Amino acid sequence: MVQRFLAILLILAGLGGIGFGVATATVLRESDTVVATATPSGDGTMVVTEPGVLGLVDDQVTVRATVPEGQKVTLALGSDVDVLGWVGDDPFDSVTGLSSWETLSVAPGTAAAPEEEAAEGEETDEAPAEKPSTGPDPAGSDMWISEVSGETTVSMRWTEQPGRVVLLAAGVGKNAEAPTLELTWPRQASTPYLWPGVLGGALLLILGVFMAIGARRSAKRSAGKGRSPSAVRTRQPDPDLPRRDAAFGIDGEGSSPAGHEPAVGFPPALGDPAEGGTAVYPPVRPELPGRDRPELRPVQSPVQSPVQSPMPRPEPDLTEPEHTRSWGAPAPFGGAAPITPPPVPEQAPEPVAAPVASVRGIRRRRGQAPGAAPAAGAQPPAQRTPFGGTAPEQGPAPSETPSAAQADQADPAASAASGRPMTRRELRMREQAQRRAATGAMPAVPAAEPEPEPEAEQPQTPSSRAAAWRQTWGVTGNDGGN
Amino acid sequence: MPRSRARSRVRRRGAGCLAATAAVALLAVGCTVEPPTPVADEPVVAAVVSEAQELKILDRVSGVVAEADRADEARSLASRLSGPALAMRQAELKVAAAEVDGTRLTDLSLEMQQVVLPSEQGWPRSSYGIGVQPKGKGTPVLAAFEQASAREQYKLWGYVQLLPNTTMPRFADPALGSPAVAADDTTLKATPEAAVAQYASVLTVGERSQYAGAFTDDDELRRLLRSYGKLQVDAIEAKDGKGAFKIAYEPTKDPVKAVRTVDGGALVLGAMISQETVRAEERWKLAPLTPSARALWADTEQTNVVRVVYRDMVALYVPPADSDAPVSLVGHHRVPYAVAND
Repeated sequence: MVQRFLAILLILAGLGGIGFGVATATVLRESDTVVATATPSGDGTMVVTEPGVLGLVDDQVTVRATVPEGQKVTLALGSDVDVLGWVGDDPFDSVTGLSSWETLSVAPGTAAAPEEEAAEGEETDEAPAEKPSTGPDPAGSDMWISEVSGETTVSMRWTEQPGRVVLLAAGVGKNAEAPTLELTWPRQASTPYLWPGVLGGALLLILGVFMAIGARRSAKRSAGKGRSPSAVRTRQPDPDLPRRDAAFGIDGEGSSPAGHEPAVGFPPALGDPAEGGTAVYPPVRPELPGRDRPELRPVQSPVQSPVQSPMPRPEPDLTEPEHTRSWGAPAPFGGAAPITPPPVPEQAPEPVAAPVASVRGIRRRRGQAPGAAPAAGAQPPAQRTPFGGTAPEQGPAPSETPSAAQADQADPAASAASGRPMTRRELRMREQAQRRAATGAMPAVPAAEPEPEPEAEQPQTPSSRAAAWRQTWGVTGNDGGN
Repeated sequence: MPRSRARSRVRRRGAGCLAATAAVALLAVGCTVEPPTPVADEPVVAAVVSEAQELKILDRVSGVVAEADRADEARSLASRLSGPALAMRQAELKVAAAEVDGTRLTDLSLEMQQVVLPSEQGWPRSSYGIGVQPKGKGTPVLAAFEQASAREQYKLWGYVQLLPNTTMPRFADPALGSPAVAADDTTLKATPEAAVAQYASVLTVGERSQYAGAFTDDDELRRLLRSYGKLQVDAIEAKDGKGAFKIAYEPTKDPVKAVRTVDGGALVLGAMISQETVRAEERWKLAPLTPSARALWADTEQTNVVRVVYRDMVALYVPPADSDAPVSLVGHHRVPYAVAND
């Protein structure tokens, strides 16, 4: 009984731990930013942060100052000496730190150091000459590292640097009030309790489950000893045993009664599915397929690895989903309806990428192929280089203009190739798909052009094709060179 | 009996639930982090003006100067010029306005090859800049800036043209800043204030000054004044007249500015007023010799006396008290601002 209670407790604790771990990463997760507000208390028109406050939570801080509608407010960043010197003898509020995660602690500011006060002598003559309610404007001083002025609300960003940089926020003008300051820092919202919670909880849960199993089993055992009739009763309807007994010619009728029962305590452990055993075995069974899976994988992986073998697969596999996945544009193969959209977004990303030059590059390469085939063809990356190829002089001028549009179409493929390699075959497939999508509305020109390209490519050494194929399949052996 | 057992089981289960919930709640409470307390960097010895700030200041000042030059009016200068520099620039603009053959304004584009930044945290603060060698003829400018109080801007306080072939004393790294030297600082061969006053005496009476020994034997300015006077007297004597040239220097009431050099000496800038008088015999009619003075002269009636009043600024290097080196002139600037015929 105690064991069962403990098991329940453990299960509950485990669930709780998991729940708590998940909750800390979701519901209880800290916000990504810390937003703290300082509400000025004093009768001054200025708020000054103490050194270190701006970088309190993170080096990046966004400051926002708000004054009543229509009033002017200025934010200025300067060294503490400069700022306190500027403030002089005027009353101000000092932001001393965070009193909570949402509130900045504000205290009446203390006047600048005596030597500065002395220096400020002449200036304080001027400042109090104005109405005390008129907020002096710090904007424009040579001393500020950064400043911003505006009406009602202004904000500025600051990346904390070594030194004693402080913020001066001042309400400006007649009847000015000290601005309300809001500092926002980004925060790494870590989830330190997620995995400990989940793993620990899972451990407890498993422990609890095992304990429950144990408890039940022992309970059953004791029940088997104590309440044999009930065990018999459950046994009786079982169709297998009697029949088997009959088949073996054993006098099943005679052997079944209580005389056998003491032994029942053991058989369930060996695999008898009856009774409470059903609750026991399911957890075990899922493990078996799990154990099987690793065995399955080696069987599957050889299927993928023969990629290196020359060319056997690519052609027959045309319609396989893996192919479409390989360049991430499955739509062309999907069917008539979804075909059309993909080409459009794919053309868009490559508006400036010198389409003509790339086409030229292709052509030039084709032209060169007979001569320079071994060298160029040997390297799989050569497939890419032509697209960015310079030396446009060699590009055949006449066919350029008609192919400009087509270049745009061919180019997305090229650009795709730059991200993920793309073979001629894929290119052709795309072309076909696009043609199909266009359903004849587009002139046949684009169709005519790209067709020969794969053909032109093929005369090159088979290794390049193999390499291209390899790239298509994501075999990254050659990507190191790019 | 079984019922009571079941009840106790339920009760225990409930207790377990409660315990689990409490544990979770405790954990949740335990993970709230206290907000950090600000940790400020310790104050360090550094210039109170960064080089970047100084560049901004230089830009702003030269912008105002350029604007005033363009508009040919001196009123707007006051926003960024003060003290002797304001008076001198106004005098320059006055001469420039009177001159027919173009202006002779000092180039105050304030492109600096070196800046000397203040290290005092209080006010007034002073910074200095040594200009780059101008493209044409002429020598670099040495300019001094002052921020009189925290709520004021840095203003050009004074400027001189450095003497040719002058080696400037070394100053502390701009990042550290150079301390200002008080006008009555006694660690120098002469206090900055005294040095300027003594130099005025030397300029006025030359070698006969009792302070002549403390200064370099001769310097560019003294040679210039001598040759200038001689030129005027010669012009009179060339026509069989008798002429006399007299010059009198006097420090103004403007406070001197001084900044510490690495060797413990100081660079001192002081403003002076000088008056030169050329006197011929009774019947003679004289006119000023220099174009700038002539521009001011305009149609003033000619007599046997030409009196030109200048605004001067001198920059002196005053070595530390225990040094054998003499006080030396590193730069000067003079602008005529008034003429008289008596």
